[in-house]
Amino acid sequence: MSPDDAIDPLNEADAGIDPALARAVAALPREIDPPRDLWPGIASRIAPTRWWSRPGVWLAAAAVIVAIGASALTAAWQKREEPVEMATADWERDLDRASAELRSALASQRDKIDPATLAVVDENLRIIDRAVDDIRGALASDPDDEDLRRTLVAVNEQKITLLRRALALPRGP
Amino acid sequence: MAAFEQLYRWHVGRIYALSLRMAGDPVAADELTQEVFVRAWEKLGSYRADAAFSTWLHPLAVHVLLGDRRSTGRRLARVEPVAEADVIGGPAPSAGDALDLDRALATLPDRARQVFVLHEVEGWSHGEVAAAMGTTVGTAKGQLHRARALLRRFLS
Repeated sequence: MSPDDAIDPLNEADAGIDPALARAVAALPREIDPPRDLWPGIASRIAPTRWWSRPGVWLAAAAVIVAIGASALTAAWQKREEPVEMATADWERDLDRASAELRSALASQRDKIDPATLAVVDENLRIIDRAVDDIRGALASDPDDEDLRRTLVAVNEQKITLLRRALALPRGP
Repeated sequence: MAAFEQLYRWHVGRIYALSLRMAGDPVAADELTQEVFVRAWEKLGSYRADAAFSTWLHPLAVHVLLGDRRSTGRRLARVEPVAEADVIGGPAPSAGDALDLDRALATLPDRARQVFVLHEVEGWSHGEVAAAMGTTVGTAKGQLHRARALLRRFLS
């Protein structure tokens, strides 16, 4: 019988990992690049799903990018986010108006914002605008689709959050 | 699709590392990594931007990786795990070498390797590991004990 066999596995599992093994685990790289680019294979499998005809998917991808881009901004933004409080009545129109106002404010202050940050903001805004166009196109043919309408509101809210964060960034001299 | 490709570029290293360790061989890891992103694409509508994308993607990846191994039982082109005696009597790389640990992981039996990766490498609790693998906490702990013992011998 080996020493390991003499141990109760349940107790041993709770006892913790051997220090040398723990060091080896800690040294494992968190990321490993695959030996080849796997994207072409992935793209070929998802392309036949006609992604452009599925605005929910496109919007979600855009929303993810926005979340990631916004998180990069957050580091400089210093915990000053406020919830977007909009009137519930005629929500979409209010969001459009708020978005336009914020965009105008951002346009007037572009020269005071770090160019790299501005590039992130602009890229995310382009993605959101494309998503908005997609979903409005879908709504034109299916105006009673409540899921589409809710998604449109959510994306517009994200646009406003992004704009507000950009406007709240520290300014240069 | 450009947005999703960007997500792939950002996260593929993490998912490939997980796939490689869970599957135990690079050929399967290639295929499984692609499967994870295809599945993520299909389920992207369920992602809510109030959490980090990686927080959403990671459990999905584990589900895909475990599901694949469970449902098909395939090993693709991977080499069968060596017998425990071969592990014990094999070359003794220096402890703490990450490359050696990855090599050692590949030699473990599937279930023991997966439990070890999820618990020790990914930081999942015993309960989370057991639930993901569809087994009991006791069984998962037993597999963990087995994996630790084999790896300890391999690295000693």
